[in-house]
Amino acid sequence: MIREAGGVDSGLDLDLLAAADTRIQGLPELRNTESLVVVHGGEVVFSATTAVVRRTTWRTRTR
Amino acid sequence: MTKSFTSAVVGALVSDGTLDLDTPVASLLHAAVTSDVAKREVTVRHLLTMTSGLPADGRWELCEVALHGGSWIEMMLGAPLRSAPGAEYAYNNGALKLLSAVVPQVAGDSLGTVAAQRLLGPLGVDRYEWPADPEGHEIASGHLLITPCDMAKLGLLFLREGKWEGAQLIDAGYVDAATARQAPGRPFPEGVSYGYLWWVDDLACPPTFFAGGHGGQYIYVVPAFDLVVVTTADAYTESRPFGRALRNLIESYVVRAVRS
Repeated sequence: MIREAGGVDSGLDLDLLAAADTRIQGLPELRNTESLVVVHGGEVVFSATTAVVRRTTWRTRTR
Repeated sequence: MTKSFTSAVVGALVSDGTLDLDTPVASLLHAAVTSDVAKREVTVRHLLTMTSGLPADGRWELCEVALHGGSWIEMMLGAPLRSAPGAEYAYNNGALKLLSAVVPQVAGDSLGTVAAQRLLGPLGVDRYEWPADPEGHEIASGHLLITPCDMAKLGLLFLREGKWEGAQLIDAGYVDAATARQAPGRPFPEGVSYGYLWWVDDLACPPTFFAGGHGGQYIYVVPAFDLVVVTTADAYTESRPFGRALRNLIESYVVRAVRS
């Protein structure tokens, strides 16, 4: 059901989304952010990720 | 964030009548609950809304309970009530441990198996790990390892009222209740209301609901804009404002991008 946009005009301001990603990278308090995925109208319209697989021990406090 | 996946599994069981949210937890777990009659009134719904009244901090925090050995279930149900069931909200990872034990009792399969069959399989999610605790229950409160795009599928499922590719995986009534204010939720840790293991910002304009995970994992849903936003992060040692800053950014940039 989730589809990649593939150049589709999603109606979103992609510059603003790119700015969000840039701001994530630039804000010290958000330096640990790894992924930003936006789904609009059932389509993935924006995806930026530097995520790596990481396992935490279950002893870590969870949410 | 894992808790909201647990909510979806519970929702699937509620949808087909396997589980009644008003069932007393003690009757399902057959555990020693002492002579405290009030404790026998703790229901599955109370676990979902963090209003069981069971203690959640100090020696009763799930991580601390694990250090004691013996049955975690009996230890948690044996704890003295802090408040009457349903009376007060208190964030409680231990409640999710109880939920992870309730699922096999009613469904005949573990939380992980039910999740695979009723939720993740139908969503096309096949790259994930849901680790189990030493008692063999999948950790319902956290540690689900899953990709950002597959996180978004959960948000989209709830945005679509439980429907996925023509199949009603979760009853729409459950989805509506899960994403509506059921408990105050404030102030810890997200500072907004609480549904059934979903955060509910019913004061936002437009209203939102979201899954929030330790370290900056979010599935943020804005129904009015047909929007799901996912973030992942590894801010496990950051203080609470990290999540708030991330949510502010979503609201300031991503939601604004849709509005524009």
